[in-house]
Amino acid sequence: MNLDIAMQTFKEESRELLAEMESILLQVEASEIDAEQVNALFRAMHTIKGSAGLFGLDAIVHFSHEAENVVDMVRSGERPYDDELSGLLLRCHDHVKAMLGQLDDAAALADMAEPPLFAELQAWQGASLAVVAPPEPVGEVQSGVPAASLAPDWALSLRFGDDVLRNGMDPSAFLRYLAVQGRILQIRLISSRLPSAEAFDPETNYLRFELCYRFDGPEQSLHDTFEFVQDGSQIVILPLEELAGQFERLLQYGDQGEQQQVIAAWQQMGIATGHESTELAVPEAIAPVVEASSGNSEKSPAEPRQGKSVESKFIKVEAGKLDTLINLVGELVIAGAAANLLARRSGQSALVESTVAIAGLVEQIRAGTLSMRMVQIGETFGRFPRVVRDISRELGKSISLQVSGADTELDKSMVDKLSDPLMHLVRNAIDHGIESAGKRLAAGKPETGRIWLNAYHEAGSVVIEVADDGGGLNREAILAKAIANGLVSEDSLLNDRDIYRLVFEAGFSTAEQVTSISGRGVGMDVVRKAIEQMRGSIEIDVEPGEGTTFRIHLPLTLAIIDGFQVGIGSATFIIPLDAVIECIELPAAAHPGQAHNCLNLRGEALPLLDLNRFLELDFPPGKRQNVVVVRYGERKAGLLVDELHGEFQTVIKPLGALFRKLRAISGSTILGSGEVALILDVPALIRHAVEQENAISRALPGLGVSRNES
Amino acid sequence: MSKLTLDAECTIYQAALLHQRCLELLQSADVMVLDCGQVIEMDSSALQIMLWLQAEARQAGKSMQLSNVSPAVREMLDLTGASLLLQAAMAGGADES
Repeated sequence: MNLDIAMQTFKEESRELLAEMESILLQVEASEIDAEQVNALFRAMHTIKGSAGLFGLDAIVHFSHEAENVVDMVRSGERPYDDELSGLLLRCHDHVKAMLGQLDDAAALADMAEPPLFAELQAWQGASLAVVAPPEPVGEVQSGVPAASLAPDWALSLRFGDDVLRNGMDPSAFLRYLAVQGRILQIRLISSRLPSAEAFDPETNYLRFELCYRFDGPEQSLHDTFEFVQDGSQIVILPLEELAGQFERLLQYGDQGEQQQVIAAWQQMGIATGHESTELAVPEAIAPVVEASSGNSEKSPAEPRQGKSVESKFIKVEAGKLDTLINLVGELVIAGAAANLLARRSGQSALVESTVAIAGLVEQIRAGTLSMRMVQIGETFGRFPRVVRDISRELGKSISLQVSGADTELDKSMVDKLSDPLMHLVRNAIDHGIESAGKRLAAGKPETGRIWLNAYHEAGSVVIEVADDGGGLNREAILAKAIANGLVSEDSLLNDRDIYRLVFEAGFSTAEQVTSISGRGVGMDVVRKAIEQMRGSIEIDVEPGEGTTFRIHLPLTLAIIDGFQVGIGSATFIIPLDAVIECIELPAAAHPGQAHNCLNLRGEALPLLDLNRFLELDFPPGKRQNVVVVRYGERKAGLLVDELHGEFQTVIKPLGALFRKLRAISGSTILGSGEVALILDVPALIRHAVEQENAISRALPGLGVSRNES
Repeated sequence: MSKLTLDAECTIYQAALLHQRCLELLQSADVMVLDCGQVIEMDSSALQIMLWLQAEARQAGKSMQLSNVSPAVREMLDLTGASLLLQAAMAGGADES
């Protein structure tokens, strides 16, 4: 087996388990924890420990073992689950996560094996022993203390998953391994899952084995044996004497026929299970090949445990495969456009009709394929209850978080990139947004502050809001700070919106007191950049005294966009349609190429960029020229082009490394005719247009306004 | 009686082919014999094809037997407990149930 791949699987699995653990730990503050959830907590620590053991990550094994013990005590009912424990386990979660982040650094990892937290875990167990041990001095049941016996016997129920064969694992190889490590006393093959006739798939596993096994190593190493088939398989490992008490665990899978065979199998092996088989005996029942053991079937009280339940509805697909598929669909869109073009040129209406039908289907395939990359944003939102809880405690504020729209879907790559900016906004809301309890009460608001995380779809984009009901951004403080930092001049006339936007400038923080959480003046500009990188935008709504809302707009996908096709000379360019506000004919009075780099658009000065000149295309100016008014964020600019061709579904092709530094071009695409068209980078163009305009304003003082009245 | 001689390797890589051949055998004969004499490597996939064929044969009122059981097959049957299920067939007596 390729160890790198296995390692990757381990990391991924651990991450999922930790996420599950965290969400449970945070949920149960509100509701009572149930057995299922405790089991999940246990499973998280246990599985990570087991897998880490396979890779020889002793530090992780060492630590998670202690955490697992703690959960096990809750699971067995020795200790109640309380807030203190929840906090303790949260910190365990953090520590394991941190260790997983240090896998490459063996020395650092070894140092993390016994953090102070480790002693706390031990102390917690010690305390529990002290509490629990005295009241039942000589019970006939010694729970929690494993009876030391020589080579104990185990009951193993191995219901291998459907895919083990396909995954290159052979159930019989596990049996062979078991036979070497210990001794298979008896074994029964359960074949009731074998489907009949056509349904039989020779590469699907249908076999299940029940066995009596003698093994004197630790129970954990038995579990470890099956670590790699855990997904999809149902493996139960019990001390033989506990079998009768927990026999239900063997019966929770499979249909009635299978359950009956399992009962019959154990009956044949001469081991009491507390269940009677309705089939008196399996027809083929003949003397066993291996010696029979005198199974000790003393009933022991046992809590119901559950193995891995709920088979996944999802299929994990390698991201690369999906990307390939999306690329192919992109090619399909392009090829479809070419076919459509040819059909229209040919003038055969039947042909045009059929290409249109194909285009419709391609459109559906495109939507379907892209939706496969979509994940629910809830995955990202899931972190925030914890963040809010931790930070608000640290700051002594009482804050409740309300999440809505967690099922809103977003491109996977964006979800990953969105995580940090959102974290920053939430932290800011907690730290700066929500006032202290005293201030809130004085303002007549409820003591508990509220933060909303909200996601929804709106007209082809995804909107994510982070809102708080705090005091709102302080307009005067921002302005004063911006002036002090030299971001704006004292006499500049800015509207509220512009002022609020200043918080996104680099090196800006209004917090009078710098706390450990935020207010270091880095962040908001990083947030804005991160959002802009995703071709998104962010805006702020402020209700003074009522709260602040940060609203992030993101495009639905990164791979295919709706573009607006324009022509300059014989070249074709694509402008992302989202950015286009309107198109106007260039007024006859305006003559680009002179000092006029501005256009009067209904009384508003619009910086104008002549693309022909800017891109150094050197085409003779067209007879009629048009201006495409584009917007990015709050800024607008006019792009001077020759022809307007209209909407075009655009598959974005990244440019090669050679062109990475190009500022005005964000990518390329292929037109139906097979020609390459460049996609214009609107934010960069607008920036350039505004800078150019400012430069001219400075060069021609006094002409600033009148120049526009052309 | 039709006999199918199994290849030396009976693993997941040959499972689809073996299954196909068994399916043809099942359709063409009432008394089937799987000759295991040449088998030197076998895994669970081949085992469950044997079990499946036996179950199908029984369903159709036909019979299926293993013959000439090689050490590799014997080891597999004993290890997995399948000898309890396939033994009747190996003994040569068709199960009439």
